[in-house]
Formats: sequence, C-alpha cells, structure tokens
Amino acid sequence: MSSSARHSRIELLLAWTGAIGLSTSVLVGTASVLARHLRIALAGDVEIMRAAILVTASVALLCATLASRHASVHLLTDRLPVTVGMRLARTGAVLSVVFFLAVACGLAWIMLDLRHAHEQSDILHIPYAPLRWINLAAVLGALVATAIRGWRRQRS
Amino acid sequence: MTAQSLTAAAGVFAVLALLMSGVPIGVALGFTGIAGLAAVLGLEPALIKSGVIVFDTMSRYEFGVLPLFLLMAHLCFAADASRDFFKATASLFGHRPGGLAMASIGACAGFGAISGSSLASAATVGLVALPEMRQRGYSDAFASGAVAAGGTLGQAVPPSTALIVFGIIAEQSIGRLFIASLLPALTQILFYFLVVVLVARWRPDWAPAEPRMSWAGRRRALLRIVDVSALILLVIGGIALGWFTAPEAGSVGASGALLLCAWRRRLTRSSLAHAFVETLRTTGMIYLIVIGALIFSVFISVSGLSAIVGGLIGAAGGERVLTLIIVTVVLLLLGSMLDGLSLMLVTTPLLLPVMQGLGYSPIWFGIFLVRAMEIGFVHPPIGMNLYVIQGIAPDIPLERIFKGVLPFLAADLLHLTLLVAVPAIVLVLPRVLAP
Repeated sequence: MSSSARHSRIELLLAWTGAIGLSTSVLVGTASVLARHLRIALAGDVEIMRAAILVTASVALLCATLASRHASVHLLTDRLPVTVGMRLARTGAVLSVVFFLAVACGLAWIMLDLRHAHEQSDILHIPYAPLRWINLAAVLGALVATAIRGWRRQRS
Repeated sequence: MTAQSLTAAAGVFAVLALLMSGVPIGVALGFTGIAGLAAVLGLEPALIKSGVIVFDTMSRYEFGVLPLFLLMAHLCFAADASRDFFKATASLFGHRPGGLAMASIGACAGFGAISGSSLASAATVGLVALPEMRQRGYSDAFASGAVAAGGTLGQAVPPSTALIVFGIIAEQSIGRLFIASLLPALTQILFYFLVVVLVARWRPDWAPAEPRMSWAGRRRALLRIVDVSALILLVIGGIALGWFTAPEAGSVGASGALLLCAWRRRLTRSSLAHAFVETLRTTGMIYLIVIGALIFSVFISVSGLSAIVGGLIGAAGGERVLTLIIVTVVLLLLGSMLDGLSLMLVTTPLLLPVMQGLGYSPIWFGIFLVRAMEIGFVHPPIGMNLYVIQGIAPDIPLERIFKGVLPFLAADLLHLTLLVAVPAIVLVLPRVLAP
C-alpha cells in the first residue's frame, strides 16, 4: 500500500471515529433537552457528552495535524526569502515535536500516577483510563505526524 | 521586578517572536508556557500541569459547544444558507441607494449567527454578493469594503467562536457572553448601515439603487430563510431564555441543521462527510490554540506578571479611562501584527486581571476584546478579511479594498468608543436575561 493511500485510510478511520463522537454529542445533547422539557429524568447525559467530546477533540487534534491545518501568522514569513522561510518552517516543526512530546510526557506521568486509582464518572461509572489512553494516543499521533512531515520536508 | 516576572516578560516577547516566525499559534503559546513553567517551578510540575490542562480542556463539557456549533455551521453551509440570506436582505433593501451593500452586511450578520467566524462570513457572503454588486454598477472598492467589514459580524453575533474561546480562557459563562454580544452586534450593524447611507448620499454613483422587487418576490426570498432563521432564533433564544445550556444549544443547533439539510434535499453522503471532516479539522486547530493559551496563561499567573502590569498601570495614575485608552491602543497596535485569536490569547491572561482590578466586568471586557480583535480583521497589514475578499475577487487591488473599508473602520472605532462610554450596551441583557 502506498504511503498516501495509508495516510488517507488513517484519515478516513479518524473521520469515522470523530463523526461517531460528534453524533453522540449531538444525540445526547438533543435528547437531554427534550427529556428535560418532557419532565423525563435522563441521568448521566453530561458524563456521556464529556466522554464523546474528549474522543471528538482527540481525533480532531490529530485530523488538524494530519491536514496541516494548525493556524500560524504569515505576516513576516511570506515576505522572507524562501531559504529563510524553510529554515523557520523546520524550526517550527522541531518546536511542535518538542511541545507534543512534553504534553505526552505530562499525560503519561499522570496516567502512571493514577494507574491504581480506578477513576470513573459518578453516575454512569464511565472509566477514565481508556479516555486518557485515547487522549495520549492522539497527542503521540500528532507528534509522529509532525515529525514525519518535518523529516520529509528536510529531505526534499 | 522579581526574577519570575522577568522570565514571564521574556516569555511574552518569546511568544511574539515565535508567532512572527510562523510557528503554529498553539505551539508558540504552549511551548513558551511549558518552558516558562519549567524555569519558574521546575520540569516535573511543568509537564504534569501541561498534561492536566490537555486532558481537562479536551474533556470539558462546556467546550463541547465548539465542535457542535461548527458542525451546525458546516451543515447550514451545505444547505446554501449564505446565498439565501443575501437574496432575502437584497429583496428588502436593494431598491435603496446602497441597498445591496446593506444586504451584504445583513447577510454577513445572518450567516455569522450560524458560522461564528469572520473569515467564513466574509468568504461565503462575498462569493454571492460581490459579483452581484459589481454587476449592478457598485464601486468595487465600496462593495469589497462592505463585505470585508460585514464579515467581522461573524465574530460579533452569537454563537461566536472568539467568544467561546474567551469564555474558556477567562472562565466566564459562554451563555452570558452570547447574550451580552447581542446589543453590541445590533448597534454595529446599525453603524455599518449608517456608513452605507452616508456614502451612498456622498457618492451616488458608488452605490446605485435597484428597481424595487415585487412583494411576491420578497415573500419568496424571505420564505427561503424562514427555516434557517427559526433555527438561529431557537438556538440563541433558547440560551437567552434558559431553555438549554450552551453545549445543549450546540446539539440542538446541529440536529436542527441536519433536519434543515434533509428538508432542503441537500443531505448527501458526501455533504455529510465533508461537514464532519471540516468540523474535526477546525475543531482540532482551535483546541491546539486553546491548550497552548491555557498553559501560557498558567505561566503568566504563576509568574505574577499581570500583577506587575496592574501595578505599573496603577503607578501611571490608575485612572480607569486612561487605562482603557492605553489598553485599546495596545490592542489595536498588536492587532496590526497578530491575527485575532493570537491577540486575544496573548493579552487575556495579562489584561483581564488588570481590567477586573479596575472594576470592569469580565463579560464586558470579553466583548470589548472581541470587538478590538474584529477591527484587526479589516486593518492592514494583517486584515485577514481584506485578503479573503481579494482571494474572491483577485482583480480588485488590495489598496482599493482598503480604501473601501476605511469608512467602516472609522465606524468601528466610533462603535468601540460607544461600548467604552456606555458599558450598559453590553451588560444590560445579561443582567435581565441571565442574572
């Protein structure tokens, strides 16, 4: 399988996962409004939404990184010579990798500290550990995607 | 000044340097924040704090409002709502001198109530309105200026992404911010309409009147936006009346937009997939910025720099109005170098405590900051909306677009002054509707 095909399959899988997270938030949020106005108790809706939002946000971070959609200021870089611009782009990629690495270390550190804590939500007892894993995986994915892009740019 | 504050001051300059070097905004803020925290507190607390911020932000219920409103916007975009808004407002105002320019501004406000984004409003309405206005003999400078300025209403009208981000950073109720933005947005529209009327009187050849549309034609055009307008009213009205929270409003809005798309026979597999993918990409982009900004703001608050800035302002007299003038000038100057979101994220941790110390409401400051940020969207050299308009109409030189936006820029500054002079414009609705 070619690299770009693998890349698009990953994006497709991410899009589906994100769409499921988003749709869950939409359905649960709408259902909870309707239920409240019909005076039906719908316990734990906020907890489901929180979990769905975390999945959506984690996937979204990865999608934006894969699509190079992170916002930056181009006021100066657009006016610089190409070689200087490329050097700044490489510096940006290195800083991005270091930032994602630092954040991943922080997330892993907390997970290690809480490994015996059995964190879960109050009403539906949704375990937090898998959510933390998803979050860490997304940050690591963003790190790898940024590193690969920086590496390819360097080689080209 | 303590060593910590010096580190923080160096951090602020480092952020500005990294931003100007083209480093992604979120990374520039987050990297500096972690490095600064490591210098002040040590590496272990810096890493753990950043990990806590990332998980808390990404699992925060209130922040769910962002992807949900973005999904609603993309679905409404698929339903061609921007074209309908322009046609409806053109049917009402088109027969007056400058009527199509008013219609563009009205359409930007209407589409802004769906998209929450200045750039999206300027781009989508511009695509429809600019060719129409130029075809009818409008001056290209005036037409492009009206759309560029009208686009800024995207951030002013709720649900605005800028207000959502401010709400998260400043820990303010997003619902209250939405309600507070209603009157300033309305007065901003009126200011723009006034500019159009004055320019059309001064130079009638720039904005000629159109033949009056028949009442049947108007009815048809208005009927096309009944569904989208009802959805917007439900979402904003629901928050204002306390029927639902802001994230629930996002869910209801997205559900409604899905039904609207289906009702208009625009719901296809590809349009749905496109809406999901675009929502995820934009959400990811904003999340990274917010995470970076939150890490940076923790660094600023730990270092005590905002207290020192407050002290310096106090030493300069502590006069509320004088402080506000200084803050406004700083925001407008920074706004000519940074894009809107960076401006908000760099300045909020520094300025919000200062403004609160002087007795300003954080809700008022949020609206004021977003308004100052919007001005940055239409003044050079950044002026993102100007570039968006040039992207739509590449044959209009940037200088002419800027010339066209100048009268609106003057109105923006007057409007900002009005918000400062009469804070009740911002604060009255939250007091009445969400005490």
